[in-house]
Amino acid sequence: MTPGTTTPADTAIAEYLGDLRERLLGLSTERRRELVQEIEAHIAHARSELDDPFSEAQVRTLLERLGTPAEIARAAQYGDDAAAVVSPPTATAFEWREPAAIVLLLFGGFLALVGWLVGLVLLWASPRWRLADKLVGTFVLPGGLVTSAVVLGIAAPPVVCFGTCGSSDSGPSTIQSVLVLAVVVSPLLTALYLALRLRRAP
Amino acid sequence: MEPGGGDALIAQLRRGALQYCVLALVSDEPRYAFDIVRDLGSVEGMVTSEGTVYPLLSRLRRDGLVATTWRESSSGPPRRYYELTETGVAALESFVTQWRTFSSAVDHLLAGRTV
Repeated sequence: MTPGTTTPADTAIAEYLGDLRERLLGLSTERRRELVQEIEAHIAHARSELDDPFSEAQVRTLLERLGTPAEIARAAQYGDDAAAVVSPPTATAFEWREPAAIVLLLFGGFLALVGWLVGLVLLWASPRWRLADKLVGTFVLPGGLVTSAVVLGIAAPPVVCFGTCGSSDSGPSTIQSVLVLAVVVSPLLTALYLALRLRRAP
Repeated sequence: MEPGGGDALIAQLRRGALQYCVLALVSDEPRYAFDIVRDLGSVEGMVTSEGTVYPLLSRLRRDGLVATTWRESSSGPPRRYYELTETGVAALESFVTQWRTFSSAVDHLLAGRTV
């Protein structure tokens, strides 16, 4: 190798040692210098035994076997030897707010709309739904199933009496019936939609 | 006792036993740090990162269990060699006795299990 040329392998090593030095700043100068020197010597020796000391891939593998600067620093600071055991992430407690919001938006309107309003507050306060979800939850359908009931109550008579009570012989059009049905069913669809959105990773 | 608690226990045992394994590796003759690290790394399941052995060696030295000497090397800069001190010898012997008793007791009680 021409003296003075820096290969990617050299850069990888320099970065590694620089990172290590930084992480050891909590140690005394003497200990830090000694440890870095030892690691440096180790790398040099291990590198000389590689099939290709200038191969970046082989050097990186070598560094991986050495462990991350973080692991070495941790061992130095806490007197640990082998790399610390990684503890499993603690299970998150069951979140009741989101299911409650969905239920209240759906049925809360029957409690003089107050229940629905509480559901609305929970909906908007939740970090687990995006703005689009919250808008859907608010406007499809305001009041939830109680509104559906009202709409059904208003729209049903014309919709369900065929020809016997309509003024025009055309009666309720199919489109109207479908529209009414869609409005009535929409809170259920919204509830389903919000529930599915919860399943996305946070 | 919780499922999966075995993992944490084994990790602790490993951490505790590792230092004695290092002492054992230098009990016959002074050895070069790199060789100690490589020998440990070659045994399945002992160390996950070789670099963490260096802080351990440093601690053993501070605790007086090992001593270091520098030797000239034909293939590069002087090398650091580790050897046991008298304290280290005593500590190792004590551990070996206790470990043999303990591990054979556990083996005995686990004997005959296929899992």
